[in-house]
Amino acid sequence: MTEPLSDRVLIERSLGEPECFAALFDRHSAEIFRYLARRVGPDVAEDATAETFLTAFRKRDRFSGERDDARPWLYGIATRTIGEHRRAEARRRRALGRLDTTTAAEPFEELAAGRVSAQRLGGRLAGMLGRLSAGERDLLLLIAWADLTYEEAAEALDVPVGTVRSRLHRARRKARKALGGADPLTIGERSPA
Amino acid sequence: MKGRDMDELELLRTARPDVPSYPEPAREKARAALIAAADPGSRRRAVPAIRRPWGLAGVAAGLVVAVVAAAVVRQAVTHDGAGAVPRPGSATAGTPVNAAQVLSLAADAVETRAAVRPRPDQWAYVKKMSYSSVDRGAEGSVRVAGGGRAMVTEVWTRFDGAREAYRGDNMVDDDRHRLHVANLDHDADETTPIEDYARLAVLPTDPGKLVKKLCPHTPSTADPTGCVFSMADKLLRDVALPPRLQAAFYRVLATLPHVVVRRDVADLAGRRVLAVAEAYPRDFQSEQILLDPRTYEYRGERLVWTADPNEAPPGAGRTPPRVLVSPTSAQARQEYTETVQLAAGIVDHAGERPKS
Repeated sequence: MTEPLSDRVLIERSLGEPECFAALFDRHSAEIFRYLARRVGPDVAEDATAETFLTAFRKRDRFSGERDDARPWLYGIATRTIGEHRRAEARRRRALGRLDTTTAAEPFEELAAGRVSAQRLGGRLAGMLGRLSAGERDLLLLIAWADLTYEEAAEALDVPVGTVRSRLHRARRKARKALGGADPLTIGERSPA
Repeated sequence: MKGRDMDELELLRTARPDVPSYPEPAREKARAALIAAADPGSRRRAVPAIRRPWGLAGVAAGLVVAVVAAAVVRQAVTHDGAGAVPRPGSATAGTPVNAAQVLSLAADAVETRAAVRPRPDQWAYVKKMSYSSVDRGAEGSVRVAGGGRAMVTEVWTRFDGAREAYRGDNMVDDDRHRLHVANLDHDADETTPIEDYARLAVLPTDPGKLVKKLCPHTPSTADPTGCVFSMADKLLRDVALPPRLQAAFYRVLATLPHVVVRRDVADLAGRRVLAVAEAYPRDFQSEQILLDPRTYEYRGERLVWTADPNEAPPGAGRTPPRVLVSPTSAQARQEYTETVQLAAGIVDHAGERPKS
């Protein structure tokens, strides 16, 4: 059984006694795995979960001491684990002259947004996700699939809450358009009919 | 309005994919890796086990690399995943030197150079040679990048981030002799090169302050290697990096406990370079920053395996691979990637090369 200590206390303690960090893994790994599995598929999520916790362990001295709950921080690392890989792939493809992103070797984030999700989500919703920027997609899915609050999502993505609100606003607007609904900003207060 | 705002989120929530729970073997493996990483005792015990078999392989690999770059490529391509073939660009190639000494010399050398201030309408130019032993293909399959060749490509990126151009090797059968120009579409969370420059220009050049700024949550008594090294690796390749900041990075690297420097390492282009590596004894991978041994300018980056996770599955004292590939594609774990800069600079037009 894990001790009834807050995540913050565990992390602080792990700075001196690194093995304490395992309790954090026991507490949150199943949840982080589920989120990663939804985004990148269960196979890749196995490695990605291990990667997330090893990164968290290495960077545990950067955990903000103001919060008791480490979940937003862990979700942030999990999100960056996906994102860094996606960016590295994109850079590499650009460097190799692959400016067109629609052909053969898709980065794995696109696999998640496109292929994996397409099978699970249905084409329309997957298409909607595909039209969002990576930052917008991360935010929307942290809220919809990881059930983070705006404040927690802001902490996970390391941006001010105001940025979360405006990014979410933009993401929803794009999402609504992609799903065939009218753009609320162009409707204003008139009847959506 | 508020009710309508919830629609897309609700839709996504209800479409939340059903996924299996965390498989017990994977969970145990990840936990064991974490315990191993956390336990200095098991780490100490594990080091000789990792080092001994690969020490000799490393020396052999160094020789292979030193002969000719093309051989490096063939070596990597024919590597069959059995782990018996020496790994190209091994983390132990070259001769270890005093990291602090070399890096402070490097800092002194680059610091005096004149800074350049790019305009938004100018272009960052890089001619690079890159090689990856694995490439993620369609449906997660693994294939060799560019048919197993190292690729040489010239890339121009406008500082305002609006356009990008390239000429040279590519994977879509574009004419390699022609200049291809494309408009860039930016993600909301991506910055443009000129924004990057503005951020770089205001970073402190005092090494201590720089670490504090880049790693605000690292206590002054803790090891900032992991935090600093990855940022240095990213920022040093910036063609508009202010020389004083470059010097500051070298001075910071000089103080890090887990950084080693080796000289007489051959890079992908066959040049002798200094390899500055982040070296944790228990790690399966080594990231390296390559520097010119005379001018100390940035030459490239390299990622190599320091041990073979297929041959020696993660156990006590070993961390599992940090590259995100499907665990079923064992071949993908033989990863070796390197990108070197053959030329770099700032020019006024796409297609133009810096005058040297």
